[in-house]
Amino acid sequence: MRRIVRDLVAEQICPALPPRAREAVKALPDEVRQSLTEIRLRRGRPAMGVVPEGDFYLSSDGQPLWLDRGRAAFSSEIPASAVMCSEDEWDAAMRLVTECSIYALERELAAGYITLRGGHRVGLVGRAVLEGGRIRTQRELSAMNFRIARQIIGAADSIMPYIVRRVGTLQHHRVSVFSTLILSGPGYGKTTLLRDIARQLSYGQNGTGLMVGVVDERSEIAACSGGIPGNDLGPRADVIDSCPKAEGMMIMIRSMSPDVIVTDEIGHAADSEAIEEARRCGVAVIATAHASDWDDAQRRPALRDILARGAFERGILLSNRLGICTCERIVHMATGTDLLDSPFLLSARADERDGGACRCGLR
Amino acid sequence: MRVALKIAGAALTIISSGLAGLTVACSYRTHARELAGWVTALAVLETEISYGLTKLGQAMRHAGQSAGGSPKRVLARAADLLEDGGYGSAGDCISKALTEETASCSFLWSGKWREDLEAVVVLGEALGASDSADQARHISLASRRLERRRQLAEEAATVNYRLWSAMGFLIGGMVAIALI
Repeated sequence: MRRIVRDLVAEQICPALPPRAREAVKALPDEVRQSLTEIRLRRGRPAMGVVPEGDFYLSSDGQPLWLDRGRAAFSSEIPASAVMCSEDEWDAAMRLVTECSIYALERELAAGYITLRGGHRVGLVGRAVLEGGRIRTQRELSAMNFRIARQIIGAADSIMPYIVRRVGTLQHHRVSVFSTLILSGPGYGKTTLLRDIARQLSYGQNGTGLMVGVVDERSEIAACSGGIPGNDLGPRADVIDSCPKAEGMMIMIRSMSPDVIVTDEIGHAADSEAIEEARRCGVAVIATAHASDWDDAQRRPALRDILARGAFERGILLSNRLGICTCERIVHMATGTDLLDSPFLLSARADERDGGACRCGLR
Repeated sequence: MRVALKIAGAALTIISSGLAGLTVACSYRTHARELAGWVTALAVLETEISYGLTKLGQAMRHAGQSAGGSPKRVLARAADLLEDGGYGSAGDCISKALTEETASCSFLWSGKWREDLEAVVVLGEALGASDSADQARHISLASRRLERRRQLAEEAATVNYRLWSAMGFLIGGMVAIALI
């Protein structure tokens, strides 16, 4: 998973961190900083870094203070060198994350996250302000979680044969895509996989690229800034940014005539209608949703409805069994057949991976 | 020769004194005009924040550009400091930009500007820290205070422009007569 060249944390996350936490992150050993998946700030408590191997307090000397490898594990004692998130640090963090523009982020605060340049999501929680039973915004924020988004070129290499089919003769063929739903719990690489699928469909192979419409409600897929995608989505991708998914899908269908629509985290009734409409228009949909398995997905009314309508032809289930972005199952949705023999890590190239051989001729 | 020199000296005295008087007279008008510019800038800022939900740095730039003059310089500088991220709150950035602007301002008005733009400094402390309705209320309050200052400045300009236009030449004439 770690084919990283740029130091994204130093370039894109550090400018949004308050001074002491920023210095502590910059002082981390390179390999730790580059494998950071989250940085958590909690008001009045030590700043924390999270890597796949565990979590640690940030320290002023740059050495990670691991929580599960010493006295901090089950103790309320905070090491003296831990970087505390004081009131000044918190105020600075709020200013930097919101760019002193809380008024412009009311919708995001109500939803509990802000997206930074580069598509990194900052989760925010505090005291909810309700209006008519719905969250209007949040005040007295108490914790923020910087989730570091990394584009991993090639993350979908092993998946593409399962979701793309060639139609026509060997000389005159075109490519079409199976509508696909990617399921997993949070932080298992759904968006990373989705982003690379969009990129690969857009680039295509031997002139078989498709028009890809990206409906990016949370600015995480394309990471648009000033209308320009921060992530590479290929030459045939059009992005509608910060737009509710259902409306965004309809706009895409009406105005950009895509071959495939890519969107993140479906789960509302309106999404189900929009996906159905896309299918009626002959547009494939590749989407993600939060669910730990198929049963979990069936328990969510909107997802159950979408699945019952037969809107998706392929289902991909991710887990962290072998590491983040483990492809647990690829399912032929109409028959319920598993297309994989065994789970594999998406980062591994097809020729390197252990198992995961295709069981049928659909590749 | 001596008479000619005296006449030249007297003329020089009258002209320089008259020009000084005109400068002071014009500065009254400039003062009123700058305050009108600030009122315009705040109106644009309110629109950008309430309706456009534009990020504060960009909103300040747009507001400054529409007003020109000192609001343009101050707000552009404050936006730079804000976007740089290292200087502090919006209020700190505006105060710093105003201090820099005042330092380059005419000595006649440097004290006066501080007084006039106190409303902007107070507004800066609240900018960006609350929802759009609350921001609109803060901006509207500051705008009303500035509008009152502008009206006072207009009245002062009406009276003082004529006074200082004539006063410079008169004083110059009196000095010339005394010297001759």
